[in-house]
Amino acid sequence: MPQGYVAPILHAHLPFVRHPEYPEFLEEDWFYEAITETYLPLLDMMEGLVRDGVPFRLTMSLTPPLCAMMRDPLLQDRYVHGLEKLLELTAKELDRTRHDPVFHELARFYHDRLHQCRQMFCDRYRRDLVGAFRKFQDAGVLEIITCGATHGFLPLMREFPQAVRAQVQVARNDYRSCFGRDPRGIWLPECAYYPGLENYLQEAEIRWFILDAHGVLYAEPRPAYGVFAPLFTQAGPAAFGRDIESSKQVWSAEEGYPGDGDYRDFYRDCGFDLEYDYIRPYIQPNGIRKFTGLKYYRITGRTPHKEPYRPWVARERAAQHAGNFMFNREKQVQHLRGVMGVEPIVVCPYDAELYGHWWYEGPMFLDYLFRKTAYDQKTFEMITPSEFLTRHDTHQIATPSASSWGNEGHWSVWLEGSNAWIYPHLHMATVRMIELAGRFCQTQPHHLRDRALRQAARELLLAQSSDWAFIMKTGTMVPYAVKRTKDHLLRFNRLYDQILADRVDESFLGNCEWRNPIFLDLDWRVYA
Amino acid sequence: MPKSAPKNKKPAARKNPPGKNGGAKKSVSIKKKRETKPTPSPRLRESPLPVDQSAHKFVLQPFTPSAPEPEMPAFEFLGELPESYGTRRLFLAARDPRWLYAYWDFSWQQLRDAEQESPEGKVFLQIFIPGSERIHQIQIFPGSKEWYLPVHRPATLFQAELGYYRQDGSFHSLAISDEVLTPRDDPSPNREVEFVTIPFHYSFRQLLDLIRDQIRPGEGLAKALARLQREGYPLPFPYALRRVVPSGLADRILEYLGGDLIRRIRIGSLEITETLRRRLLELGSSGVPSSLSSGPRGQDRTFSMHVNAELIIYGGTVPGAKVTVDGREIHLRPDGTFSYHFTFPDGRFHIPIAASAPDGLEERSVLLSFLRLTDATPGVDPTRQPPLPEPIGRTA
Repeated sequence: MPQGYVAPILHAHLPFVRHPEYPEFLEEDWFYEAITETYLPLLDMMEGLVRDGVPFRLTMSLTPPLCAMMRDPLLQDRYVHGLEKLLELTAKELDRTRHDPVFHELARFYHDRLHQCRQMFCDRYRRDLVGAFRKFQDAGVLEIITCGATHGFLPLMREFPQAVRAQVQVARNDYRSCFGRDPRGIWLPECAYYPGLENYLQEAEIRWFILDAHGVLYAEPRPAYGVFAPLFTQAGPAAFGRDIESSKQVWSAEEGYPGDGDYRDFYRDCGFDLEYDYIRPYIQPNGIRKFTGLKYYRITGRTPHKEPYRPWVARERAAQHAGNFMFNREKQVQHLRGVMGVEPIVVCPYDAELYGHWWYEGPMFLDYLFRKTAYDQKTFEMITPSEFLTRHDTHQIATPSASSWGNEGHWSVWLEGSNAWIYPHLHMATVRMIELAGRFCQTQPHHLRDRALRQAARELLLAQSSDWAFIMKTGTMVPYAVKRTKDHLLRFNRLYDQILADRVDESFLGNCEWRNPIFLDLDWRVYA
Repeated sequence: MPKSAPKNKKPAARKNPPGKNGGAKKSVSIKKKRETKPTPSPRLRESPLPVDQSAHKFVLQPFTPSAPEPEMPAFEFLGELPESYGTRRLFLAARDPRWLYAYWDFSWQQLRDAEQESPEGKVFLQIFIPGSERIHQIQIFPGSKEWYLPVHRPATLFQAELGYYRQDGSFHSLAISDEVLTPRDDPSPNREVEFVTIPFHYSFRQLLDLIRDQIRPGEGLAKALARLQREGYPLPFPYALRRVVPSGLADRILEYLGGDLIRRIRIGSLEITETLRRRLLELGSSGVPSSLSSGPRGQDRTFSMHVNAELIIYGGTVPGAKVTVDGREIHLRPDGTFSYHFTFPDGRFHIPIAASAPDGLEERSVLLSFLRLTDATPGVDPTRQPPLPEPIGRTA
C-alpha cells in the first residue's frame, strides 16, 4: 500500500483565436506553437509510457476553446502549412550551419523534431488531436476534465446564475461531443471560486474541482488536513487544494527547475537573431519579426551572454530534476502520512503550456518523473482526483474561501484599472441574452432566429473569456484583447437588436458564424 | 532543402526568395565578394539585435512588399460600445479581502438629473455593512462610472447604495447593489470537523433521489447525507465516519505549509507570464508584436517613444491641524506641510482635501480634479515608473 498519492494536473487552455478573414494572423501562433512544443510532446510521452508498460496517471483539462481549435479544419491546415515552412527553414539552416558543428547539430535537432511533429500530426493522428488525447483517456491512464465553456471568470458573473450555468453546461455538453462521456472534474477558469458555485457543478454532475491553496486552507470550518485531503462542499462536489511546495519547485521564476542554466532559453530565437533578409520569409507578412521556435541557446546565466544549447545535457538535467522532485514528494508524503494518520494526496496543478512551450524540457521531465515514480520508489502512487475519490469517499465538509490562482489570490488580475471597463458591457449583454432566451424559449422554432440566438450566445460566451482581461492586465497584445472583447460585444448587440426587431440580417449573421464557429450545437435556451 | 543549391553555392544567392528578381545584380556582386569567406553566412548573432538598426536599412529596402494593402474584411469594424446603457444598475464586487469595486450604469444625464433633484446638488456612493455602520460616503459626479474602495475587512458583508439626501435628511436611493462578502484572509477559527461519505459511483441525482424527502430546507446534499449518516439512516452503500482527527492537526499542517509563506508564494500563470515577458523586454526586443500593431512594412526599425506622467500633490497648514484626503486623515510633517506622489494613469480623479484647525473651530477645503486622456499613435510605450500608488479618488 502506498503511503500517499500525488496527482499531477495540467491545465491546457488557449483562448479561441481563429481568423479566417486574414491569410495569416500572429495570435494564431499561440496555438501552433503549443501543438509543436506542448501537445504533441505530451502525446508522444504518453505513447512511450503506454508502449513500455509504465503505470502512470495524469489529469489534464482540455478546455472547450482549445478543443474547438484542435478540431477546426482551417487551423489544422494552417498548422501544417506553418510546419512545412519551418521545415523549409530548418533545411536552410542545415545548409547554412554546415561548417559549424555546434549549430549544425542544433539545426539537425530541430529538423528531426519538426519532421516528427508532421509525422505525428498528419499520419499518426490524422490531424485529430482531440481523438489522440481521448485514446489515452479511454486507455485509463489519462483523465481529461473540462473547464468553463470559454474560460469565463465565474465570480464576476455570479449575479447572473444563467450565465454561470451556461459556462458550465455548455462546457459539459461540448465535452460529451469531444470525448463521448461526461466530465467528472472541472478546472474552474483561473481556479476562481466563490461559495455557491458548487451548486452549478452539482447540476452538471461534476464531482470535483481544483483551488489554489488558500481557497482550501481558509475554508469554513478550518480543514483538518489542510490541502492534503479534499473537502466536500455542501452541494457535494469535492474541492482539491494546490500543494504549495511542489508548485513552487516548478513554477517559481527564481527557484523553479525551468530556470536552470542548461535548459533552452526561450527568448533567443532565430526569428529575432538571424539577419533580416534571410529570415524574412519566415516572420510576419508585414515584415515584423516573430518567434520561429528555432532557439539555439541555453539559459546559461542571468546575463545576456548565452551559450549554445546542448539537448543531451538538458535531457540529463531534466532527469535529475525529476529525481529531485520525486525525492521531495517521497519525503513530503512520508511526513504527512505520519502527521495525518491517513494517506495524503499532493495535488500538483500547472499550466500545460509551461511544459514544452515555456519550459522546453518539461515533457521530458514529466516522462522521467512517471518512469522513476513507477520503478524507483514505493512511497507514493500517481493518481487522478476521480480515482482518489473512488478509493477514499469519506471527507470533511467545508465551504472553501473565495479565491483564484492569480496574483494576490483573488480577482485583482481580472478587475483593475486596465480591464474593469469590460464588466458593464459583459453584464449588459448577459442581461440581454437572458431576456432573449426567456422571450423566445417557448415560441415556435424559427430557423433564422434560432441561428441568430445561437450566435448571440456564442458571441457572449467568447466575450466572457478571462484571457482578454488577463492580457489587458499584463500589457502585451492589449489592442488584440480589447478588439476581441469589443468585437464580440458589438456583434452580440447587433444580433440582439436584429432579433428583437425580427429583422435578422443573414449576411451579417453568416459572417459571424464564419468567424466564430464554436459550439456548433449550442443550445441558447440554457440562458432561459 | 533549397532547390538546386550546389554544396558550395553561397547563401547570399539563396537568400533571395523565388520570384524576387529585383536587385539581382546587387546579389550577384555580393555573392562574388562573399565567395572567398570560409564561414557560412548569414551568421547567427551572438547577442540580441542592437537597438539601432539604421546600419541595416539598405538591406531591408529590396524586401519591402510591393503587394497592395489587403482589402478590409466585411464587418471588421462595427463601431464603438456605448458609454453607458442607462439601466441605473449598481454593481458591487469584493475584489479581495481589502478592496471593493463598484460600478454604476447611469448615463451622464441621469446623474446630472439626480444632482439637480438633490437639494444640495450632490449624489453619493455609500458603502455600508448591512444593518450596521456606513464605511464610505463618496460624492460622485456625472460622467463617473466606478470606484475602488479600500475596506480592509476580510469576511465581512458589504452593500453599496447610490443616491442623495432629501431636504429632511433622509437618503433617497437611486440604486442599491447586492450584498457581497469579502473573502477570508486567514484560517477560520471554527475547528468543527464533520465527515460525510459520498460514494463516487452514485451520481448526485441518484443520491438526491435517495434522500429527497429527508433533506431539510436550505440543507445541501453533503450536509443532509452527513446528518443522516450520523443518525444511522439506512443507505444502500457503506459509510464510514471518521469523527476523530488528531488534536491540533490543522495547526501542524499549517505550520508545515509555512504559515505566512502561503500568501507570499501565491503565484500563478500571471507571475510566470509577467516575469518572462519582462525579461523579453529587457533583452531589447521590441516586445511581443501583435497582428494589430502597425509597423513600417518590410522594415525592422527600432525607433521608439515613451511617455508617462506622475502626480504630486503638496501643501501645508499650521502644525497640529487635522488634514484629510478623500476622507482619510493624513500624516503632516512637523511644520504642517505634506506631499503625496502618485502615478498618473488615464482616468478622471477627484481628490477632496480638507483641513481643520487644531482647535476644531475653522475648516478649509479644496477639491482637486485631474483628467488624463492618452491618445497616442501605435508604438508609444509608457515610460517606466518607480513603484508609486495610483491616485485616490478615481471616478472614471
